[in-house]
Order: sequence, then C-alpha cells, then structure tokens
Amino acid sequence: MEDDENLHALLDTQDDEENEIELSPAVLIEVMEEAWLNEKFSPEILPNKIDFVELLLGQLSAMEENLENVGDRDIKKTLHLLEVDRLRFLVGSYLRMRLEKIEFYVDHILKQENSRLENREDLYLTEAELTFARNFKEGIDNHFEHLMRVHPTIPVDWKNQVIQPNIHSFVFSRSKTNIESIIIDEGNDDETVYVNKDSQMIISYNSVSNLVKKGDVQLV
Amino acid sequence: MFGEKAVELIKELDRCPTSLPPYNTDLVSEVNNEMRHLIESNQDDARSEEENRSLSGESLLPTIKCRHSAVIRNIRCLLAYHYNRLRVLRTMRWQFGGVLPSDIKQNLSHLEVEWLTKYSNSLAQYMRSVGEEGINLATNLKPPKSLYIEVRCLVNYGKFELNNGIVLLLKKNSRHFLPRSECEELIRQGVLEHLVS
Amino acid sequence: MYVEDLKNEFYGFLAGKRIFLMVHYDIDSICCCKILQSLLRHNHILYSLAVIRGIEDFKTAFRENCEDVKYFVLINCGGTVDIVELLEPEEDVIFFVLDSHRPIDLCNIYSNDQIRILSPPEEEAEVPKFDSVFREESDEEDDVESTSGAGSDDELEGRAAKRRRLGEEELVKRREKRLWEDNRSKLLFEYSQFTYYAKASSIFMFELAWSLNKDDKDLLWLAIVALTEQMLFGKLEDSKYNFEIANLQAHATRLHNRSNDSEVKASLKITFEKDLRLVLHRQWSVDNSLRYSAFTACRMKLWSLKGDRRMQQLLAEMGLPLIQSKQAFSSMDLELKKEFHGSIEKLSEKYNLEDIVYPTFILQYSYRNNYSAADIVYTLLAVLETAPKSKNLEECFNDAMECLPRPKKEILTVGVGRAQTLFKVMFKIVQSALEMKQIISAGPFVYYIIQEGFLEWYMFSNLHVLALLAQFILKAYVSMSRNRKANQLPLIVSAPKNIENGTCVILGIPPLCENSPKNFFGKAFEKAAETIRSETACDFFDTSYFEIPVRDRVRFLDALTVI
Repeated sequence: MEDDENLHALLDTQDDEENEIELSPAVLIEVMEEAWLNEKFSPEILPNKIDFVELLLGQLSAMEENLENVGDRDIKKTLHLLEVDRLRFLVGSYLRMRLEKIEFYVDHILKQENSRLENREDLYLTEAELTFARNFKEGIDNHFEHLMRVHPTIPVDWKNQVIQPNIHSFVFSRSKTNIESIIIDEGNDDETVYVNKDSQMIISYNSVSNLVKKGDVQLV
Repeated sequence: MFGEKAVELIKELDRCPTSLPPYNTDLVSEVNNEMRHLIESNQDDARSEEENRSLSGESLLPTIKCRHSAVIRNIRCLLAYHYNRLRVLRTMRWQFGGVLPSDIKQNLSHLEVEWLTKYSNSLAQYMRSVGEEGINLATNLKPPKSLYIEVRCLVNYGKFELNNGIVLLLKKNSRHFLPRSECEELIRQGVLEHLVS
Repeated sequence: MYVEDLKNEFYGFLAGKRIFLMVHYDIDSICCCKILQSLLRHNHILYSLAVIRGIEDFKTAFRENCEDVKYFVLINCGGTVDIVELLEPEEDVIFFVLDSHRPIDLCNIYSNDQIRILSPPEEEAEVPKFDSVFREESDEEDDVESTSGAGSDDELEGRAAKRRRLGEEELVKRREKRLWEDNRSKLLFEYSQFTYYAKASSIFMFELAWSLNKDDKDLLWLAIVALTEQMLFGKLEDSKYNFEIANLQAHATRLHNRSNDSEVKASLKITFEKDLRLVLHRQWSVDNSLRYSAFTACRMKLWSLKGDRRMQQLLAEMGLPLIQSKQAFSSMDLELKKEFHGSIEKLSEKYNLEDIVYPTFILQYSYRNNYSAADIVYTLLAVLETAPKSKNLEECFNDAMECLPRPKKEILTVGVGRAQTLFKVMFKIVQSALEMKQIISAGPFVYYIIQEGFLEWYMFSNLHVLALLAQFILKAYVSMSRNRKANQLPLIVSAPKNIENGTCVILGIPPLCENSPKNFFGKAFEKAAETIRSETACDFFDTSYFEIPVRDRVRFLDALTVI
C-alpha cells in the first residue's frame, strides 16, 4: 500500500506542475480500471473514455521522465517502473479491446453511430476510432465486392448480413449505488428488482446496459 | 452435389485454425464457376418457365429454387472462407507487426495483400492519433508480471542493443535475463523463447 | 584473490551491472547456476548465460562476449587454468570464479583484482596435512615466483608490493633461498599432483542465498542434488558427505518450520530419510534395481550364476514373491512396498550388504511423486550424458535446466528410461569384462578398454558416465580378484571419444583402499604423454581425464607403468 501512495505522490507532483487537472491520479487510475473492466465484459462497445486515456498517458510519460532521475539501485524505482508498465498495459488493452469490437461489429456500430449523429446524441466512438471504423468497413466491403463479382446477377442479400453483439448475454455485475429498480424483461412480464449498494448479481446485459454506461453498475 | 466444393474450403480453413493455409485460388474459382453455371441455368429455366407458363404440366420452379439456395449457400461459404481468413490475417498483423514473414505472405491472394496494407495503414493512423506522441498498441500484449524475464535464444541472431546502450550477442541456445519490454517483439518473432521458471 | 565477503563483494558488487555466466556442463554447475539465477532475478541483475563443456568452449564464449561484458562469473570452470594467460583479457574485465575443481591454479589465487575466487580455501580441519603444506607453500611459492620472474603480467603490481616487503626479509632469507627453490618445485608438485573436488559450488551458492535471506526449499533441493551428485560420482569422502548432509538437514528443518501450511499443497516437501543404495528403485522393479545397482551387484557378485541364486534367496527370505519383484515398484502390493526397506535392511548383514542404507533426502512434489536425490541425479546424468548423438548438448542442457528444481514429468520419464538402459549396459559391460578377463593388470595399475563398436559405446565418451562405469568395474574387479593387493590398485579406463579424429578418452581412478577421491593421475598422464611425445589436446577441466589418439594408447599405457 505504501508503494501505492508513493506512486500517487509521484503523480501528484505532476499534477501541481500542470495545475489544470482536477482529477487526482488515484481517482484517474480507478476510473481507468473501471472503464477497462466494463469494456472487457460488456458485449457491446461502450461510450469512450478517451479523455481519461489521454490524461493517464500524459502522466505516465511524465512519471517515466521523473523516474529517469532516480538512482538505478533504488528498489522503489523498479516497483514504480513495474507499475507504469502495468498501467500502460491497462491502457493498451482497453484501446485494443475497443478496436476489436469495432472490427467485429463494424456495420452495427457504424449504423448506431449514424443514428446517434442524427439524434444529436453523444457519440460512443472517438473521432479516431470512427475514422478507423470507416476505413475498416471500406476495406472489408471492397474486399468482398471484388470477390463477389462472379456474375452480374448474383443475389446481393449477403450485404445485409450484419454481425451484432449479443446484448442478452449474461454478465457479472456489482452495483455502486442503491438502484431503485432494474427491469428484468422476461417475456411480457416486466419484473423489477431493487438492488443494494455493493451487491453483486449475474444478469442479462441489456437490463443493466444503461446503468453501466451511467456508471452505476460495474461489470466484474 | 452443389456446394460441396465450397464446404471443402471451409474445412480446409478449419483444419489449421492458428495458421494461414495458401489461398486456394483453384477451388475458389471452381466454386465461382459452379455458381455462374447455376445462375445461368436458373436464368434459362426462368425464361422457359415464363414462356411455358400457359402450358400445364411440370413446373421448373422447384429446380430453380433448389439451385437458388445452392447459390446462396455457396455465397455464404465463400464469405465465411474469406472473412475468416481476414480474421486470421488481422491476428497475425498484431502478432508480427507491420511486416509479415515471407512464408505467410506467399499464402495470400493479392486482394488480401491489398486489404492488409489498408488495414495496417488505418491501424497505424489510429495509433498515431492517441495521446501526444501516439501509442504502440502492439506492445504490452500480456499483463506484465515482472520487469525482467529469462529468455533463451532460438537462432543465431547476432548483436542486439538494448535501449540503455548495452549490447549483447544473441547466439543460438544462449540464455539471457532481459527487460521484458525490449524482448517482447523478438519473442513474438520467434527469435527468443520466454523461459518460465 | 579470495573474496571473503560474498554478500557485499560479490552479490552487492554486481548490482546494476551486466554479467556473463559461464556454466560448466555438469549437474553441480546447473544447480549452482539455478540458485544464482534466482538471486540475480531478485536484484534485477541482467545476465547472459553460456554452457561450457571444456577449455575450447571457455575460450570461444569469452572471445565472443568480451567486447560487451566486463564481468564474468565462472561456475565450475576456469579455476584450474591460468585464466589471464589463457584468455588475455582487458585489464578492466573481472572474473568471479566458483569452481569445485581442485587444485586451483596459483596464478588465479594470487591475481590481485582481476580473478576473484568465491570459494574460501579448504578448511584445515578436514585435511590438515595437505592444507598446512598448502598454506605454507602459498606464501613461499609466491615469493619465489616473484624473484624468479616467472608468472603472468597481471601479477606485476602485486609482486612489486610483495617485493618491497620481501626486501628486508630477503637478506635474512637469502641463504635459504636456494633451499626454497628446491622446495618450491617440490611444493608445486605436491600442490598440483592430486586432482580432486572441493565442496559443491551449489552449497556455497545456497549459503550465500541463505545469508541474503533469499533461500527457499527449491534452492535447498538444488544444493542437495549437487551434494548427492558429488557423493555418487565419488567426488568426496564419506565423512565429508555426512558432514554436509547434516548441515543441509539443519537447513531443511529450518525451512520446513518457516513455511506455513497453506502453501504446502503447491510446494515441495523435502524429508531427510535413510534410503537404499539401489538405483532408481522407486521407478523400477525390485528385481531390476537389485541386479543393476553397482552396490548390490558387487557385494553379491550378481554377474555369476551363484550370485543370481543368492539374490533369489534374498528375495525369498524377504518374503517377496517373484512376480511382485518383477513388477514395477510403484504397483507392488502396498504391504510389501512398505516392508521392503525394513526387510532388506534386516537381512543386509547376512547377505554381505552392510551399509546398504545411507542418509539422503526425499523430495515430495505434488502428492504423487517421490524422488530421492539419487534418483534425480541419475536421471539428470542420463539426460545430460546418454542422449542419442542426434540431440545436441545444448538441448540436453536445456532439458536438465527445466527439470530443476521441480521435476518435469515428460523429461523425467525419458531420463529415467535412459538411466535404466545405462545401468543395464554397464552391468553387461562389467559382466563380460569379468568373464572374458578383459580387465588387465599392468603392474602398478589395472586397465580396461571399451572398444569401438561396442553397444552404446557413445555414452561412455561422456565424463561422468565413464566415471560411474570405472567405479563399478574397479569394485567388481576387486571383489573377484584373488590378488590380495587388488584393492590397492588404481584403475584406468579408456573409451573412444571422437571416431573421426581417432581419439580416445582416458580416465584414472584411485584404488579402493585409499578411501579418498584424490586423484593422482593428472600429473602422471601429462608425464606419460610427454615421454611418448603424443599429441594431446586436453579439453577437460578435470585433469584425471585425458584425451589421446587411439594409436598412441598402448604406448601411453606402457609409459604409465614406468612412472
């Protein structure tokens, strides 16, 4: 634990220098870890947390610079370096998982993003991710377009086959606040449950998807 | 039976789930021919059905329907074949970085090469856009256990310089204790083997 | 020079530096290297590692890496040769030497800074006579050497200092100087005439780990394996073995008490026990193990028909049905299995099998497997030295590395199989050598030659396998010989080494009556080779091995008889 504090102290000094970030490093890391877990276990792509990612990355490079000046034989240095490595993995893994989802569900995700655009809602993807998604779709479409030029009158239904995330899959989750009611839609009989803070449950993802996005429920 | 060749394609892919078999140009074009043949004969039959509608008797409709579903099935198989190849290719892109080993490159169709280049480009573009100086997502693939790992060298690689200026000779069967971040790529390329103790 | 404070002057010194480990191709070295690796890991010390089989490898590895690395750690290699002369290193290159081969080259001992020997000089209590000579001689020897101007460059500095000190003494001692010079060659000869082994390097390394508070059961097991290896291959006296085993037992108790129960499931359990001198008997059948163990074979003369009958009798008296005795030990009836140790011990006197039990350690790992330290040593030996030619030595080394400290099932199974073959082959060799009277007496010694083309001969071109065979043969010979002085005769064995170059390896072992593993053949071999002017290219760190062209072998043996 002490090392954690040291680590945070290191991050803290960074904060003071920049003086524009309100978030404390500990909170930042916590937020990032939560985002990572949620992204890892949710079947669909979640709203992006790119601001946190950018913040954390900035702090990590600053930390590494700070560590350069620490003596080689200091045991703390190796611990800190390892921690930096871990956080880098966290960020990398988070971004990778998002890319994987984008690739896999590209049609579905783009369609959703378009409708969000029309309704002037916040987009889930970052701009860069959106560009990547569009490029990816273009690549895939091109590829199949070429392949399917077998015959002018070949049926074109295949274009409509879209891979969708299974939002009904079950997930482990933990509530972070008291939640008045979660709707469990079993057929026509809408049932609701009251969930205490910190209670854990296995539940169909679509019942909690909004709560996850709001941050009231944490997937574990 | 219609569609058999297409299934053969799928089976071929299924047999080696981790590696990429050579692109089966012959079989793909055979499937394509089969489809072309099916579509054309369907068109012919449809025309004659149109002409003969007044005449009662045998209808060609069941034949046409049968052929049509065979075509649909072939399409599905072709899509699955190519899509899954792309998935494997994508995994390999992550595994080996921008440059694929030549033995795998030989197994690609030119369309796939094009696709891969495009994919690599957009991936690189994405990685550049994150953070201030970009982030290389192809490193740190596994959660780090320790900063340093023990590795064994599998080939005569020659000299290798670490970030801090240390030079070492990677000779076949020599063992080294190195920073994990620096040998990760060599491990994926098969130059080093991670020894777990 | 000797490093006294290993903790600071070796381990502490290396922190943050990049080092190169040279590890000799034997079991002790591998164990020692494993312990060292775990220490280096703790402190994040970067290292590279190379396997060294002989002096040639030693030179190559140094040449390839001397540009990049300044600190070399030599495990069981290099101590017996003049490193500075052999490698001609830059001045800032430093060698740490932990070598159980003896004698250590005097130039290494008196190197000021460049060569740092990690093992302290032998304790006097153990071999007082030899040691007092060694102590006294070391001072004199150095002085004499400095005045006579012989020696290597690296000593210049040290010698200058010594010479100053010598200034006063020289006047007083001038008269004695000539006496010294005579004495010197005598002492030099006495110092280097015996080849022998010191305490296993792994035990030193384990003690270092202990002093750093970084020891655990895994490391202890490595030290145990190394000690057992020395015992089985006749590298140390029984008294020393008993001393060290008591020492390690204390560690075992301490480590056992330290570990809490929760980790027991996943961890090793090391128990101190009395075990039988029967090779691999847990992995074999009683019948096979009794028959092919050198101990029982020699005591009961199992190669003869009569001996065979005695063995059957023993089994009968133990109440062990034949079927059960031919069964794999692990699938024998539980009752018989439990009684086996006790009943054989009870009958040991009657069947001339006294001291069939010896103290050792048993390793329990993951509930299922019990291995005695000796089993592991034999298996590792098989992994290292009896692999088919197609498998190169580095792969064998890797296999052995993976097998320690926690045995790896697949490798172990293969190793046990090969070890069993090895013991069968050795038994057959001994049997036929006795029947055909191939063990030839040459006056001051007896010798035996393994001919080319002999079944599985390639195994015996490896050092430790050959040593094991030599001991077996000598014991068998003595037990059969009518000559009362047979136990005072040393043995020389020779096996083909390199068929293409037409060379053979020669090993001498001391007579049984000596009861000490000190080996005087090194000097004798050198002399004999000199006399017949044979071209020798000795690549071994252990000088009791020698390599000569096959065509010179007869003349070589002749020359030896005269020395």
